[in-house]
Amino acid sequence: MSLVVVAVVAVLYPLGRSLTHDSFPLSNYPMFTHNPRAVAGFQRAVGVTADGDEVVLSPQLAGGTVEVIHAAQTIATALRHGRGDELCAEIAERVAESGSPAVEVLGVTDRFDIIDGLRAEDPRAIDRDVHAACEVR
Amino acid sequence: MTATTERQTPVVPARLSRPINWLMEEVPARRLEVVRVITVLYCVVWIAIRTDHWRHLAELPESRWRPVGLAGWLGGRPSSATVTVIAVVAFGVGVYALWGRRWAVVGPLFAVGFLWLTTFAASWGQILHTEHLPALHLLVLAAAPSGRGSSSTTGWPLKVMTLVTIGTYVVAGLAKFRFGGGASWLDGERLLRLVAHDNLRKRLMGDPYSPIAAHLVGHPIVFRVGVWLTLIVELGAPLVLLGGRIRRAWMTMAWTFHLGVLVLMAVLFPYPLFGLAFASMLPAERLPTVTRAGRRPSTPRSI
Repeated sequence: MSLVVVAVVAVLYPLGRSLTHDSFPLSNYPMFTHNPRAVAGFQRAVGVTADGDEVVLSPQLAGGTVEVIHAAQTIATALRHGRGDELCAEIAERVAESGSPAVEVLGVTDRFDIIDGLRAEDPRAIDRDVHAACEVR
Repeated sequence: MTATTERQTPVVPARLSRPINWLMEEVPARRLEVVRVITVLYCVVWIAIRTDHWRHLAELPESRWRPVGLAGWLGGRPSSATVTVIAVVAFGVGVYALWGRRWAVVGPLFAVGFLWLTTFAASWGQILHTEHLPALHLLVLAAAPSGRGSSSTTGWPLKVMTLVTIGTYVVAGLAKFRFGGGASWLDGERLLRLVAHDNLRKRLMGDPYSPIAAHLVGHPIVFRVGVWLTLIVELGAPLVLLGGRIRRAWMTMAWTFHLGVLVLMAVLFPYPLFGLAFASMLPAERLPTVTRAGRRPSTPRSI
């Protein structure tokens, strides 16, 4: 019976934690709780080819991980903390090794109407802030 | 003197006493054996699939290391070689553990190895929530007898696993109120935007996204229903303790909920979707297994 109590208390223990204090393997399960605005900024990394065309950089190239949420969080955190140039250089290194046609990497915030953007054939940002730019060598 | 018999009124109504009875009831030893085998098998396969990803994580710059849980206590960021060695050893131990031999040693060793690897994976600035439950279930199983033989003690690990599962769903449900805007989460509007945001982000980053989400965001009723289904599944998880049809109905709804998350958001929670999160609640002994301990005799024999 004591093991039952320990297990239940342990799993419920994260209820005392704040949103920013998630952990493993005991979690406060904050997934699916954030509140995106109808027009939201997406921090991401994009590649630019020699012709000026943009190419999508996969989560593996942009964030060094196959997990898209992790990659997006990595980019957002870096840009928020002013480490855009550092991350840009790291991405450019991976892009160079990947054989991608990109010759430049941009760290940007693109603002989209999230419903229109999702429904559009070719989603266009309302506006863009460029936080970092670096060459692919 | 006339002897009278009084009809005793139960102190606790039958339905409400079910959870207590459920905690105390014995279960077939084979049920624990089967749940142990399929949980370990899932985790072994998970290690095989994720090791390459974990090795890549280990090569990320030092500035990305954000240790949580066990990784925070141990300190120091492990190298790619360390991750590889631990993954290979854990894989081997896990394969051995499938047979249930020397479980008292092998079980905890595998559980700790899996916990270390998954904690390491969660220590890079983003905690995903696909590995929490199998890691916890393995820890419970590690403390359990291997399940061989007939013993009244074989029931408790399954009950604890079930309570852990219930607890995680309840905490996730309460998080919707604690972090998700309280009662305003109930109108479905936030869920709709969340689904749109998540899919658009995936699309912009070249990741698979839900092809039907773009159509469904035009129908807010879908998300109003989705919100209530989510809350019934998460906050209603303790209904499992009532057993019978109610338990089966909850498991069906929980599985459908995870299917809905996959279809609407392209987010895969394999542990519940393959039914493993609910295995401790099911008569798993009916599943055929190929392990020595789990194999049924081909011919009847007397004991």
